[in-house]
Amino acid sequence: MAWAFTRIGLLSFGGGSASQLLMRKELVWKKGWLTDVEYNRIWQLSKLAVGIQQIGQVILYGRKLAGRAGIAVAIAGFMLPSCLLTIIMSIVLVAVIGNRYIEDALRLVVPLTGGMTMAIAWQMWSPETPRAPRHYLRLLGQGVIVLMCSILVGVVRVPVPLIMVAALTLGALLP
Amino acid sequence: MINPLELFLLFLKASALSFGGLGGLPILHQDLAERGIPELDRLIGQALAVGRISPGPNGLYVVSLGYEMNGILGGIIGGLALALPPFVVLLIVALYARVAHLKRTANALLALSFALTGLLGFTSWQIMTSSSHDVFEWVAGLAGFYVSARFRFHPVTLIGITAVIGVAVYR
Repeated sequence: MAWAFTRIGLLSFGGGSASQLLMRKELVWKKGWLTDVEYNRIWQLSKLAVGIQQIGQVILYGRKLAGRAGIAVAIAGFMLPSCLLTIIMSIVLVAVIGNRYIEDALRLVVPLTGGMTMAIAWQMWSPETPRAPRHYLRLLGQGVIVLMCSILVGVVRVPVPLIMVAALTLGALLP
Repeated sequence: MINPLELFLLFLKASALSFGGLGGLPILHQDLAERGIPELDRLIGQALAVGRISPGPNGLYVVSLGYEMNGILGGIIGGLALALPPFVVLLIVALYARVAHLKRTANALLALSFALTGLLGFTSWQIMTSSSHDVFEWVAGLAGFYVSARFRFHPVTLIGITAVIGVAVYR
């Protein structure tokens, strides 16, 4: 199990979708430890995890496969090598900062990552193309929430957790 | 330099109050900005770049940011702060079964996802604009948004190409 989760953690370059594919390949297709139905059920449940969803997913798979020991092994395998690699990459980056070429490269890479993160925010919303008048209304409502939250955090400087609680409450109050 | 315990608590707070790898970024950005960290947007931008090219789950930028702010201990602190909050899923799964069928639950989660879009959108806009001082930097930021939103480019490829263009443009 430790090796399987280490492989998943180390080979999943490119974020969420790459991890999902590798995890399914390793746990369902290759090892046969889980059925597709079990895999999907746990995947759905893991969306309720706070923080990084994939870690919640790994916790649930670990428990399903080997109880508490399974959780420990799965988390260690999934997180330790990738965290270690991230630290090594950061050490290299910090060591070469000041080098003219690296500084030149970073001048474009930093705003690029800002733009890439903004694209993730956009994909989280993924607004549908409206086809009927009521779709426009729904889209407008969604846009107002998105814009209001941006203004609240950026202009009014409301604490972020407060905005999240307000959004949850507002959503729960809707009919 | 922030003391390690405070840094751990800030990372933990951001991770525990968020959904998804980058969901905690607005909280973390706000907390660190309040503490007057110099060149914060640049540090976060660099950490995001390392996080995007390293393997593993989304959100490992916290490990890199921890290293930038507090050395290897900071990196370990970042990893720990990411790993702990998702354990709540064990409790939430048990409780969720009772409220999963309610329409209010679905509505609340939907409203939260829109709110997160606004929060993350603003924070990333801030990182992009504060690090853009000339036309090339603006183009890099906007291209990062457009290409990532429109095409399935691997982040490592995108960052690599941009780095090469950066060296060519500013040499």
